[in-house]
Amino acid sequence: MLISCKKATEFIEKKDIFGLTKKEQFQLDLHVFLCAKCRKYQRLSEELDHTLRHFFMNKSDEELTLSEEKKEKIKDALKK
Amino acid sequence: MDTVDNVSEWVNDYSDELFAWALKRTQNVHLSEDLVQDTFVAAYQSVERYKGESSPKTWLHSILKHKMMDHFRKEKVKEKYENQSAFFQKNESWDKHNNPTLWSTMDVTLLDNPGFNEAFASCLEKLPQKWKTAVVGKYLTDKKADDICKELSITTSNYWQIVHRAKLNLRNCIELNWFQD
Ligand SMILES: [Zn+2]
Repeated sequence: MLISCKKATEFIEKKDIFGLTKKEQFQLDLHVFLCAKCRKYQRLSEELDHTLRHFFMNKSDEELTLSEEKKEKIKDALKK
Repeated sequence: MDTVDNVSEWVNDYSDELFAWALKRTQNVHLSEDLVQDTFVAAYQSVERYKGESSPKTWLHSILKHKMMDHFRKEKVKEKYENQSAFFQKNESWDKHNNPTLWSTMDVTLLDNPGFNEAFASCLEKLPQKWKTAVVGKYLTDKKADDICKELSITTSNYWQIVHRAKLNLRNCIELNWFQD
C-alpha cells in the first residue's frame, strides 16, 4: 500500500494534469502525511509551477517574425 | 503564374504566423525556422494535392503540425535525462544530496530579478526539446493535455512523466546555478 518517494512525486504531477484515481489519491495522501521530504517537494513543486507560469507570461508578449533573409532562403529552397 | 510563384506568395503571406506558431510552442528560433522551411518545401512538393477545399493557411498549418510531430517522434532524449538516479536512490527514496528545499519564489522579487530570470531561462534551455515543449504547453498555452500529447506524439502517461522529470531537472539546475552562488 505504501508507495515510494519517486512514485509519490509522480502522482503529484499526474494529479495536476489528469487527476488521480481514489486509490492513488489515498496512497499519495498517506505518503505525504508520513514523509516530510515529499511534503516539502509538494510545496516546491507548486513554487516551480508558479515560477514557470510567471516566466512564460512575461515572455508571451514578445512578437517575433521571420527575418526577410530567411524568407528569401525558403523561396530559394523551393526552386531546387 | 507557376507553382514556385504561388508558393513564394504563400511564404510572404503566411510564414510569419507559421513561425510564430512554432516558436510559441518550441521556444526555439532555429528549430522553428527549420520547421517552417520544411513546411513550405513539403507544400511545394505536394501542391497538386491541395485542392483549395481549405484555405492555404489551414492547409499549411496542418503540414506544419505534422512536421512538428515528426520532429518529436524522432527526437531521442539523452540517457542522463531519462535516468532519475540523480534524484532518487535505488529504493526510490530521496537521494540525500537532493532533499527538497523551498525557494520562496512566491516572493515575486525573485522573479523580478534579471539574474534569476536569466538562470531560469538557461536551465530551461538545457532541457531536451521535447520536454521544453511539453512544459511550454502546460504553462504558456491553455491547451488541453490531450492536445499537447497529440502535438508531441506522446501518450498521456508519458506527458506527466516528462513534466515531472523536467521539474526535477529544472529544480536541480536552478539550485546549482542560482542558489549556491
Ligand atoms: Zn517521500
